[in-house]
Amino acid sequence: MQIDTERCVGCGRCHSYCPDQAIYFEDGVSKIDEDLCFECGTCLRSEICPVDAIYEVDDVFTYPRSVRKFFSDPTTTHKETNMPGRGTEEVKTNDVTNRYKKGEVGVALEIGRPTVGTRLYEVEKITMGLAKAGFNNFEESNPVFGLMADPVIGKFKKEVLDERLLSVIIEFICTENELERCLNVTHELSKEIDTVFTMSLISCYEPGMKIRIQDIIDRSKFIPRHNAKINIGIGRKSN
Amino acid sequence: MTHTLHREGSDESLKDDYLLLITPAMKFNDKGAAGKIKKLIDIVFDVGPTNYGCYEKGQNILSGIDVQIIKDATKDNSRIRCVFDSKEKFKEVIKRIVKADLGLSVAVTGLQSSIKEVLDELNIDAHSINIAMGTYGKTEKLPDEKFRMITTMCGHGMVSPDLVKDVIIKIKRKRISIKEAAIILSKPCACGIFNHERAARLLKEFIPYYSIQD
Repeated sequence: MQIDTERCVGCGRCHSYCPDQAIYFEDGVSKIDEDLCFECGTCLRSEICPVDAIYEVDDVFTYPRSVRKFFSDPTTTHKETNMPGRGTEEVKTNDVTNRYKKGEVGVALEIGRPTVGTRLYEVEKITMGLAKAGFNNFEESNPVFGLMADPVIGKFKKEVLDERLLSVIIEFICTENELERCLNVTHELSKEIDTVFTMSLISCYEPGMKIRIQDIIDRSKFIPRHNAKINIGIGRKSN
Repeated sequence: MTHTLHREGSDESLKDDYLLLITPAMKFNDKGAAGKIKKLIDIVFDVGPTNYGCYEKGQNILSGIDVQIIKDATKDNSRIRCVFDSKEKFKEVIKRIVKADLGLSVAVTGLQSSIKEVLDELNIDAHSINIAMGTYGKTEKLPDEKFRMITTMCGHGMVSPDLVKDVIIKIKRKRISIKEAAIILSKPCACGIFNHERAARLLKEFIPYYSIQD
């Protein structure tokens, strides 16, 4: 995003809308720190500017800058997945896709959320650490996969490493038998990054909404919250 | 954790917060999904969501878009994202969606105990779960916990902590009401899962904790 400094009246109304504090005053007008900017578009969509000085430059859709846009602006659609937002269906369609079967656990790590954001080199620390421990079956339909130069070792393409994104979701599947080791590896990796991440675990229920992996979670160093996303199981294939 | 799972707060503050997500599965049931989604939009609006978002327009109903604009913009890959602020409405909308039997996947987010209670009452044995396991790493970089209880209601992180600070100052200076502040905070959330009723309750609770200087 950019601000037309000829048009800007320096009212500062846009500053508080930026999730990354990338808008600042200089010489009496507002400017955007392009290195910090996620290209999420929140400042423009807020329609808060009284003189329409905020605008999007064309190169926001030019690679590798475009990576910021596709991963930070939920109103865009990823070319790879045809899904708006960051492009994952995870548990939301599991009753139809059967992506996570009984005996398997979907692991999703959202790097940079909430609020902090991340460079892709921080994400690479986690993917390479996971891959080294054998957890390298990264979800191919997740747009992050397309940013990797070598998914087997979790390495990203060199040109995207410095890009700063609001969030990146790493998804992979491990077996229930491997979950305890996976959680231990992930906990160790949490000490190596200069940002935050959230984790979620996806699993099929047993009858009566019994959670199959509850014992493993209880033994882990992670503290689950009381909220969850639940697929109620009424979808079916029709294509 | 992703999207709706980021919500933070005590069980008490999360108890009247039910999120509904209906999603066509790409390559499985997305062909011709637009017509089904429009029927489901009618059901959802007939019950009355607290908030509802439209990715195609980048806005939610609190920003001024209406149901017809949302339906006109609906495509096969569109998704329903909305929030309900009462158990009764949430139960009613799930009941009607199940009865409509349109074949699209339905996911719901909220406190596990609250969701299970509703599903049990409707005799629904759910398929799978995405468990929120919490936030890790450099957590000292996170903003104020109270601010996060509000900002994390936007599933894509579009609500800035600075905007929370800004509206608190304006409330303190009596320039806006708490209700107006909650609406201002809801607008950046394009997908419409920001629960402004909960935001108003939280702001009312938090206001005494902050002071402003001239």
